[in-house]
Amino acid sequence: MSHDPDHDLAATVTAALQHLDGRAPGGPLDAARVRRAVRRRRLTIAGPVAVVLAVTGILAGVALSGSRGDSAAGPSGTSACAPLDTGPIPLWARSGFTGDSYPPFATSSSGNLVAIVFGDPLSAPPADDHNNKILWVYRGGAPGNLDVTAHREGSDQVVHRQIPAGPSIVDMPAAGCWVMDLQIGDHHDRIALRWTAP
Amino acid sequence: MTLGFDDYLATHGAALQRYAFVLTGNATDAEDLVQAALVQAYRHWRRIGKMAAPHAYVRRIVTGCFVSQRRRRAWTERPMGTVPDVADPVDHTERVADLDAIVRALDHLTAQQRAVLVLRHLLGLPDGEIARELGCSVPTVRSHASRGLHRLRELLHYPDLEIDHEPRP
Repeated sequence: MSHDPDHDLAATVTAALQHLDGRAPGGPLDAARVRRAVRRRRLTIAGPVAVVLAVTGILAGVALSGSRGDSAAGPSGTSACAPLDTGPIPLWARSGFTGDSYPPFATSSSGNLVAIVFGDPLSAPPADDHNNKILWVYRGGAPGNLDVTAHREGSDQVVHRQIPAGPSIVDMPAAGCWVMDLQIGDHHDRIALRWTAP
Repeated sequence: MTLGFDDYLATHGAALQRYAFVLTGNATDAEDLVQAALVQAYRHWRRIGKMAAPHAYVRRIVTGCFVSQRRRRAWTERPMGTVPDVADPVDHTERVADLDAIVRALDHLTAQQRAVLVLRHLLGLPDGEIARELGCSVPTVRSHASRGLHRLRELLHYPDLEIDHEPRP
């Protein structure tokens, strides 16, 4: 019988793939996590659309100023701030954690940055019993500084911050949903976090 | 009859995770891949849930996400290093080492080559079905398979070969 190296290699590849298949981690998939991600992305898309609609409304002479103020709701009545995710932190952002319990977190629109909120709920002005500590984890590794331009949903208030990599205390001047545009080196991203009145 | 999203995950979730793991070779990327694919699937679940074979469709989304993610990451990932020695590919006493070497070598294939090998050699799909899954022609599938095996043969038979190129999308 002739020796067929191609057949041998294909058989070995099959064995290797079966070997990998057998090592695959199991565990139930979390449908709620998928739904949260879908909702978050819809809101991320809805946010800029809402801004465009608001600008259009202003140009048309529609008085929006009456609806502004301390309300966190966006001009369209929806908010870019989804509830914080209380499920497992993505594996790539979990390296510093031990155990199975994690603080709540928010994921950026690209999915490459998570803000792990140790100071939940974030408060403006800062609460007496805890600070507004956030751990920023960037998938691409240590990001250096995050250059942040944050605007408060439903208002004209804009804040510029340079936030150092890793854990930082982030105080905002007013309660509301803050939509943060982040520049991390060449990477641009967006994340929305809510500060509440204590 | 419509299959609910939760019911789908309960019945096919494990298979989906295994498939993603074999494609990516690590648990972190597999989890992200499954999540990305399920987010896409969930948006169209009203339609997918009515399909005769929803799992095949979701698996196709996983495959598509895998190929496109690898394409996006190609500029940042430059695997360097050598494939470990393989004493003798037909020596059964070295089977464990062989498997390890092949698993490592698989990481150096393009996304399409790897997907074709997984679909063909693990799932046993015919080339026509693989072509539909990847959105390409049958000759292209055969080309990916042939080049993938050729690349593996290169890596496994020349253990000192430096792998200093980035995976081609």
